[in-house]
Amino acid sequence: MTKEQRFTVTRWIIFGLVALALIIPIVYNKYIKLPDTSSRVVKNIYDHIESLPEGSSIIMSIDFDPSSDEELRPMVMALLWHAFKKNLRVIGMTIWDAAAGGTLIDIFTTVAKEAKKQDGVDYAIMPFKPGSSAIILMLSQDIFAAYPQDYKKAETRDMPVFKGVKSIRDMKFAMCVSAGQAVDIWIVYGKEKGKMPLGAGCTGVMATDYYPYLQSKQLLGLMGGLGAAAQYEVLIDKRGTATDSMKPQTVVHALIIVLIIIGNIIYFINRQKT
Amino acid sequence: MIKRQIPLMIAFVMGILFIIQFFVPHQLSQDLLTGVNKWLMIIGGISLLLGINSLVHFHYVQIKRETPGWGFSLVMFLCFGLALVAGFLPSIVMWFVEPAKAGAEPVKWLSFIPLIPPFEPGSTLFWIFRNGISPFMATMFSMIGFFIASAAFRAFRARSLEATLLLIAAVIIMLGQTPIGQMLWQGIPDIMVWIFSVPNTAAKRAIWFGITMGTIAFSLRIIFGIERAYLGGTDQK
Amino acid sequence: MTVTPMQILEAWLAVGFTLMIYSFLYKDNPLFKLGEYMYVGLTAGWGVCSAWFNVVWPDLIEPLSRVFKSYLGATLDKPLSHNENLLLLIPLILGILMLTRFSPKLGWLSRYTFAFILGTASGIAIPLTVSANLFKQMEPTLKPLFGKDISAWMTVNTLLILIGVVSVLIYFFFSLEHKGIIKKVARIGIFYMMVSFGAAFGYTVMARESLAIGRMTKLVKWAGQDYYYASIILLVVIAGLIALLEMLSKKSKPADDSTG
Repeated sequence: MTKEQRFTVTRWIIFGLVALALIIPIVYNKYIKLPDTSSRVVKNIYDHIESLPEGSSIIMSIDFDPSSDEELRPMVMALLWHAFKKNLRVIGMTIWDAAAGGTLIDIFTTVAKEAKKQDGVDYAIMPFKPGSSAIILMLSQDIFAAYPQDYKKAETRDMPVFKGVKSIRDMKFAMCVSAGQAVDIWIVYGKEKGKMPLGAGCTGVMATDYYPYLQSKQLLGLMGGLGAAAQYEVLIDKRGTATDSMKPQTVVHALIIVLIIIGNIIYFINRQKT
Repeated sequence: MIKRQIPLMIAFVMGILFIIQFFVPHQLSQDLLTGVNKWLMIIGGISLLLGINSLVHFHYVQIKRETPGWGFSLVMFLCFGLALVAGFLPSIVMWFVEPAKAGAEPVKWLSFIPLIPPFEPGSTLFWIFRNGISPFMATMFSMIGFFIASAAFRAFRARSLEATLLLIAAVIIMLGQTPIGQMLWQGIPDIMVWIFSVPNTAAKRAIWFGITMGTIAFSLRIIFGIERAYLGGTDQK
Repeated sequence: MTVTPMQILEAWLAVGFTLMIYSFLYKDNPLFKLGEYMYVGLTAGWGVCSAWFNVVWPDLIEPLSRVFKSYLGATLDKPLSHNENLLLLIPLILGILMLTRFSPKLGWLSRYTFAFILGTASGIAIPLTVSANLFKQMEPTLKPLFGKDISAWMTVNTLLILIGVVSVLIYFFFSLEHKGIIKKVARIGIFYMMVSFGAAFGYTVMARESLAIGRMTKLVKWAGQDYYYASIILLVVIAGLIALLEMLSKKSKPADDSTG
């Protein structure tokens, strides 16, 4: 076997192992029991939403597309469910083109249906508008200039959900759940101009980038990836996709750690030989 | 002059204007910011339409020259057309057939076309997004889940002190993010939080400082006309 | 739960597309390429529709046509709002100027638009970035080390952050030659960055695996009887197709001994 063939075969074996580490815990999900995890940065967001009086307005910027859907959707579903249970008024928006389709509208309509909330009264969904920072800046001045109509072309000014709200300065909380630069934009433009408490949710890939903003209190809390979503599901006592997904997640993490250990053993044996 | 100096002047005036705008809390200044941002948003919309030009051009050339794999470009055009038809057809039908009663019952022979605006649930474009675009996007990125395991096996070696630190931090985070960490030892989640909030915060903050300085320097270069790459090409006269 | 025929069709489509892309894990093949190009085409079409229906039509053409109608004395269904005025011609003109980018003769006209966008964005960005990313970040870095509510552990951490920020900045400060004390401090900076990158890698593993979990969960669901074993059947079909294509390509190129 040539070196190249050995490389390919090893790769296929690893791919096969990963597939098994994912599929077996998915199939036997209900037989696996794992303890819950918790973290301060996630709980901060929960505590803030919990502390808001009924009818307070919050805005959720859903800035990811199907490529990060599996990771971030459970997070938004849990947050939105919590907000609806607290009878908050929620404005949903996006500065990400592809989120306007399946993601934003789909999540909002699904959760709203389950929580029996009414479009235009308890929540509103804004259409996608390009210009990211320009949109956020407009929101901090005049929300109706940015969004004169919702995604169904209904006039936003006439909606009860916007009563008493002129800009994001009047909102009690803004939450950006993003797979790209949206959190940065919200920190620099939204938080600086809007001054409202800001929370962030992001993919695991980006989570470490935002820790400096937690210490500086520019972010109230941070939810990084599926693990954070699972923690939130525990907090709101509504376990779902994220909690279930933590089982294969645990197994595959263990597999990767074992692979790293084996790789290092091979490396040290080879080094000693040479 | 009109080709070079005026664009530089526009950048200078707009840049200085909006730096000053930040410090002027007057309503007029706020309206200016909102108004100009709305223009930027509209220009952004037009530029999205333009972005398609290079894609269309590239695949058109592929088909015209019958380069190997040109059939794939044809498939690209078919799918592109399909999404366009799904998006525009309901509106065109509404426009021509029922101009006064948009959204009302369509004429019978056209009833197979759902007259739902393209960005609403139930519309054909929405369906294409959910069942055509969505699975592709989700799968493309999920593949990295497989490659990352292979990369961890091959490249994650404790070759030096620096590499060992990287490896240990990664393993602690992998353990701490899942219940496995606390099952092994209660202290792992605490160490993970400490890594995030102390060494990671310090490193990321310094990197942010660097990026910010770069952003400011770049912005100033644009305003003062030192950065001229946006004038494009070699003809900058 | 009853599964509708439409849901079954959607599942079969999704499984087909998912497996076409996953076939790349074996090696690059025509089925993966087909999926890739379909994806590009559909996304591009979606992008055009999005730009048109979300911005160009409702924020530019519709309000402008209302403005002109009102100037021509036509009665409008509702009065003009303060955002609906002739100033909308400015973004329209700037947008059209951008179109000239593709013309060798008139391309220079697009510079006006780019100058407008970049100048404005730079002017807006400078004060906000300085405030958000410099001042606000500087503050917690230079926190007091001692005080009434400050524990010894907090003091240590504040010091560690300060040392980290300074040493990483020194590492990136290329104007200074990295030797002597500077070299030592820069090395500490490297240690901090390695820990941070390690943490980012650990988190990235979680992120990428959760996407794979999501996909696999759906494939497992669609492998069930309700969906007529879509995942299993299509896995066999796609594997068979790839094998067939490979055999055909080997026949046409007998001398080629390439492996994946």
